[in-house]
Amino acid sequence: MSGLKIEQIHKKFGTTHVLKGIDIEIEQGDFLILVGPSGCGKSTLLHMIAGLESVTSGTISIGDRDVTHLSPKDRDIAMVFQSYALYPNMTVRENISFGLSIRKVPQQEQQKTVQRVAEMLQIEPLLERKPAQLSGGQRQRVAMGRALAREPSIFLFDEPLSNLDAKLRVEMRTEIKELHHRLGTTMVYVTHDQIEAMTLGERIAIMKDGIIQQFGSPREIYDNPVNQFVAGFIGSPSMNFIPCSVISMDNGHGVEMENEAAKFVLPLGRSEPALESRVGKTVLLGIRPEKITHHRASDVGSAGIHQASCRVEIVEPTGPDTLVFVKLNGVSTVCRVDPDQAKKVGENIDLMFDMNRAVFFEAEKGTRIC
Amino acid sequence: MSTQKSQRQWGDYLQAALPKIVVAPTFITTLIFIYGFILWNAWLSFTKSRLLPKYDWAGLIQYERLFANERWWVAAQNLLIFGSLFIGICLLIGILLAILLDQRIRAEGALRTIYLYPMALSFIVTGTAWKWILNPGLGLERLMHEWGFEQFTFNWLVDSEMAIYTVVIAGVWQSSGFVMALFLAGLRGIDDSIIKAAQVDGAGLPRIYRSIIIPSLRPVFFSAIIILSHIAIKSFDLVMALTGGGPGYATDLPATFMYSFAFTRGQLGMGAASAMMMLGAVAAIVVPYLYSELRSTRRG
Repeated sequence: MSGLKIEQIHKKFGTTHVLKGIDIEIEQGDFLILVGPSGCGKSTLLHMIAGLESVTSGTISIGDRDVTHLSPKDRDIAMVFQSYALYPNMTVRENISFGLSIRKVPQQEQQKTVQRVAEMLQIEPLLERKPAQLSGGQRQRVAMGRALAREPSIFLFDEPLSNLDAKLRVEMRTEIKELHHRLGTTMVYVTHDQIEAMTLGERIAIMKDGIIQQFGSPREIYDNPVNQFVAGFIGSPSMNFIPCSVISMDNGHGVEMENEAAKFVLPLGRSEPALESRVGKTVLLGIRPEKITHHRASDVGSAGIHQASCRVEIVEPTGPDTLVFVKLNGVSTVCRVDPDQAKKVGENIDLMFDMNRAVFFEAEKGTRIC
Repeated sequence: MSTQKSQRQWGDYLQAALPKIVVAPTFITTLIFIYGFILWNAWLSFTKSRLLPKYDWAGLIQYERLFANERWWVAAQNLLIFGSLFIGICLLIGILLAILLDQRIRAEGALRTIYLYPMALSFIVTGTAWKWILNPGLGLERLMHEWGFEQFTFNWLVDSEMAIYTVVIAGVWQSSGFVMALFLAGLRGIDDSIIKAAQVDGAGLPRIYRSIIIPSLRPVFFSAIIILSHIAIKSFDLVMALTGGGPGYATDLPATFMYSFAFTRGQLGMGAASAMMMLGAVAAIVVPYLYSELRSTRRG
């Protein structure tokens, strides 16, 4: 059964075209993430799913039911807002049961639901308090509780964690994921944080300028980005994009690299048909920082792995790894090396380039070549 | 070097004392001309003063005379009618206008200004203008007659039973725009997503206003009621300009009662007693307000 189906959704505010033909379909019980930079239209799309924003054209179905023109209350949804949007004049208990009392659920059943939700989120001691007497994290829980009280067919989250501090955010992230496993309800989650997107999502839709750039699982998007935008947006530190010219070699293709220490060729170790027409031209090599590492004896001689010496420009220790910045073809490139193997600024370091996961983009347009 | 040191000490002293020196004149005048005169008035209310003040203690005799005076009770009853209607209608119109203006309508700024303008007028001007409008031979009634509605009568201004309601009309006209501004500011302070959350919860707009928005405007209600009630209790100029307290003394309020007894009828002691009654009424409203305000700032 389909959980949510969005077909050819357009949204215009006056002359501004905010959403330009969005198509998404997920199964019941899926966790969908809408992620993108601010202004990409992700929140607008979520508000349209909720029915808080009208649709210019296209259809939205929730669980095989066309809801495009239904009002929010008839869509069987629950939503958690970025600002929590708790009713300031009501206690936590009243906040949670408000939706139920509007639906004329019997008093006894309301109290039971409140109890169940409060136990699930461990907010029982807070039930008689007003929102103003709660901390940010507690308010967040109450907002979740209000959504959970109704057992809807779909949950909508509008950047629910962005007002929390870093530690709490990680905790709540895990809790939301756990909740999804337990309830098995379809969830749609909007965020601008790519780490949240990667950790929470089963299906991720990356949006930019009102268009879905790529729709897939976190792994697909990480390993196989369709364009330079997606490649750069997902992953931290983000993927390196190095302009370089393609050459033909005995065992396939390679790219030319240059830095202060040396001039060298990185062989792909394979032949890419799509690169054949671009021999001698400049393309963008996309390589993730963790694919450029310190010298590892075990990797020497492996297919697609090549070693080269580079001059260290900046060193940033992060704890588990140290980020070493080198200049390749004039572009600052991040490499993730073992802290013990990192060199000082100005020294040369032997780096191993793993070209097996390397991707190539058109130099100007940023579209994927291979 | 010792002169330098003493100079510096003198400078420090001046710097520390400067705020007190600056505030002192207003503090002293306030002390004398407000609190001093309140005490003086209180003393007078316990004497047999008539045209000129006397200072012999006479006990509660002026209060006894005041409570035996029918005109005082008319004034008190008028204050009750005027005060409750004025506050109630102002709040009702103010909230209604604020809610309507809050619907993101066009030309909101211009409309807001129009509703707020009466506040810029003095009550004297309001009273005079409404006196002309409501005067049967001059304003609304005559206009309707000239338009051909010969049966139309609207003579509340000269009807001693109804005259107090004309004061309400003029007062509401002047103050409801201000109440609207208060509530509009309150409404603007409410997070948009609260309304959206309530919509998702299934509430319609009337229910959202009734159950969520208006209850969360409680502090605004509180300020509005305090401000309006002290306007009502102090009301003097509006009545003077609109009806002069008439017909007869039908529209007397405590303030006009106090004025006429103290300054035109040579009953200084009784005027003072009525002033003390008004002070008591204002204090009964303002003191709890101040108390709650101070308590909440301390908590915050």
